[in-house]
Amino acid sequence: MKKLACLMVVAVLLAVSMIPAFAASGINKNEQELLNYVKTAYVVNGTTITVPQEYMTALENVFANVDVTDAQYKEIKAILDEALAFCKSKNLTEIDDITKTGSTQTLLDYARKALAVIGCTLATKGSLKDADHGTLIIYDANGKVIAELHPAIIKSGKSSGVVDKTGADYTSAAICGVSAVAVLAAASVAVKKFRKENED
Amino acid sequence: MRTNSEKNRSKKGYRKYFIILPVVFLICGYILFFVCLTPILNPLISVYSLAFSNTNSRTAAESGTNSIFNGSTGIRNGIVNYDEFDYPAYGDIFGKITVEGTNIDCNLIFGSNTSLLRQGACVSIYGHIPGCGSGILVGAHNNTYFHSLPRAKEGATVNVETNYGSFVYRVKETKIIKDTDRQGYEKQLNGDEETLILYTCYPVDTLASTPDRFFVFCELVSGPKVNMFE
Amino acid sequence: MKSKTKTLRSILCGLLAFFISLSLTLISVLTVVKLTVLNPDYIVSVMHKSEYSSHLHQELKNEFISYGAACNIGEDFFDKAFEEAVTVEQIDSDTEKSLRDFYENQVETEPDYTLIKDKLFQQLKSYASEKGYALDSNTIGNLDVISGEMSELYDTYVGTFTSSYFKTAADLLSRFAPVFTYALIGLGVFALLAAVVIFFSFGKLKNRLRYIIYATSGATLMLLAGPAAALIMKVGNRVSIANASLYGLVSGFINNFFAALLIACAVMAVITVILHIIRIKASGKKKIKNTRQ
Repeated sequence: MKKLACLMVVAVLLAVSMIPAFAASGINKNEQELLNYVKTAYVVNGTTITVPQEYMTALENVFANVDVTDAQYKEIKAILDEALAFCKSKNLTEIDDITKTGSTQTLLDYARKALAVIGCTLATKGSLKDADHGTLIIYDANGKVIAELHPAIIKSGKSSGVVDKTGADYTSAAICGVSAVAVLAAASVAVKKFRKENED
Repeated sequence: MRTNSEKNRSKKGYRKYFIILPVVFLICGYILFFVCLTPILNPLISVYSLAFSNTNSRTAAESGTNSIFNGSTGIRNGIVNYDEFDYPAYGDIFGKITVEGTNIDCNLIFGSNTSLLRQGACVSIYGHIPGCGSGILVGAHNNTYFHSLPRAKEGATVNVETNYGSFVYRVKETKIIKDTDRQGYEKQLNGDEETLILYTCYPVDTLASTPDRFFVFCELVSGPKVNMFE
Repeated sequence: MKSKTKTLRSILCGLLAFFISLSLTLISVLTVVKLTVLNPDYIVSVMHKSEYSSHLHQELKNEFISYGAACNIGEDFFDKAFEEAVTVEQIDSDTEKSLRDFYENQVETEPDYTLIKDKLFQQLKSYASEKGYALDSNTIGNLDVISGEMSELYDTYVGTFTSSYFKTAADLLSRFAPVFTYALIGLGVFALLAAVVIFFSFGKLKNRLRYIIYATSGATLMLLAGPAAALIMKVGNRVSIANASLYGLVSGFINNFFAALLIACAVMAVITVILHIIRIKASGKKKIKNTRQ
């Protein structure tokens, strides 16, 4: 789960770089800004938290095949700002914190949003039981693989995974149920009166 | 006693309400369901967006190999700019690799997964491509393409042909490192010097599930520099 | 009858008809859920129809080949192993067991695949002999480790439904399953009471049936709209899973569930038609009576 969580962080970053443009583009100014942002923006209690260099390299490899325009850069940066604010609110300083705080789905959701901006999608492959055999795959709009993110095959301890409690509020359903019974009661009382009268 | 016109009005009324009321019930019913189920549905909506998309087993293309390599370019020095060649995409065969003193002579593929590893030596996306001035991580199976890698000796030449240039490396060091020991190769992979890192499972000739990897670290002798930055 | 009382009766009966239609819809949905989602035979039949085991057999073989390549085991070994040791029938039987255990809240988070391990171990020994390896204690030890890891790999893929989150889900299921039965009974009683009230609000059968028909046709529409939209938009086919095996199982599960809801809708439509026919016949008898008079 730890490795899969790490991959999700990368997926957010990689996701933002996918656009269906096939110019041989290199790393342009906007992409350099994004790389710097990822390297330097997350500061917690004076410490800069960043992803491992290998993941930055993976991002560079993908940026080399795409072009991020100014408009897309702004949109992507907005998503990254949101994701960053979320990470700070959960005080995520290590990869393990992602699963401990149940933040996996939210981070993945940011990745999906960033992908959706540029017409790409995320899918899972491999084993759902063991995260070390699980893979996140990013596809372009034509269903072609852009990147497969899988961890090294490491035997890790099984974790139980924290699931957020939604704390569902059943007030609306209760109100609906009470009103149904009230109508039934009112109608039951009125039945006698209705039956006294002749009807057409 | 009712007149005929009153009876007809009553029939029309029934027919009219037979159409209108069920539709009204449908709309009100669905609105009520959504209102009552919203607290449960809200967290599920983001899961729905994640879990359902247009990409899945039926629609996704298998990451096969597309070859962008058409033989040696003959470019052995100078600078190759980003707009002068096709940067390899995931699954592309973009070159060939040979190692002196071994039988290694196989395709070089960008990206690595189960099916790509069956088709050649795979360049990890967590490292660079040749010419970028940093670490290049290349792995292959020990019972196929990299079976003879442990025979590579210090000083042996490694030739890498790509779709944008010809590179020559020299074996500097060989090591056996545990697969979990990132520190064994991290410095070379993320360093400022171009280093070709070849690896395969070790030992190669025993039937064993091994945590060890045989690493070959190679320094750059010649080859063009790649400029990826605009 | 005074028009005010008539209006009040119409409004109350209309409201009751609405609540009856809601109840009938919920009863139908809950019944379909009990017969499908909460029924182990359903998911097992979907599993067979989607050829889950065949697809997983092939996927597993590819993973084993990749694993074997790191252990110096050639592909030819796995061609034989996947005909004799790891078969489609074995995968089928193990998956069916884990699914049924899930529904009985007896998820084994550490299933025993010793049989698979032993078969693979024997086959590895034969393979090692054929390839000319000496079967000394070192080699035997290595083969034992390999067969153990292979059986773990088997568990990783085939044991999807024995993971810890399925165990948690099974606990929840066993706790909330009785609630379905109580909900069905409660809704049924409410619908019946409301129908009785409508029944006694009118003297004539055709008028009593009028509101019941409104209710059943409302329920028919509610049961039609959602599932039909889901099937037309192919919601079930859009699940983001790249494995053919799991994709087939999950999309089949979802699509067949919506199809079952449409069958419930058809049943409700038939009930509506029957009630309508009864109503017409009741009106017809009244006419004849009046004519005779």
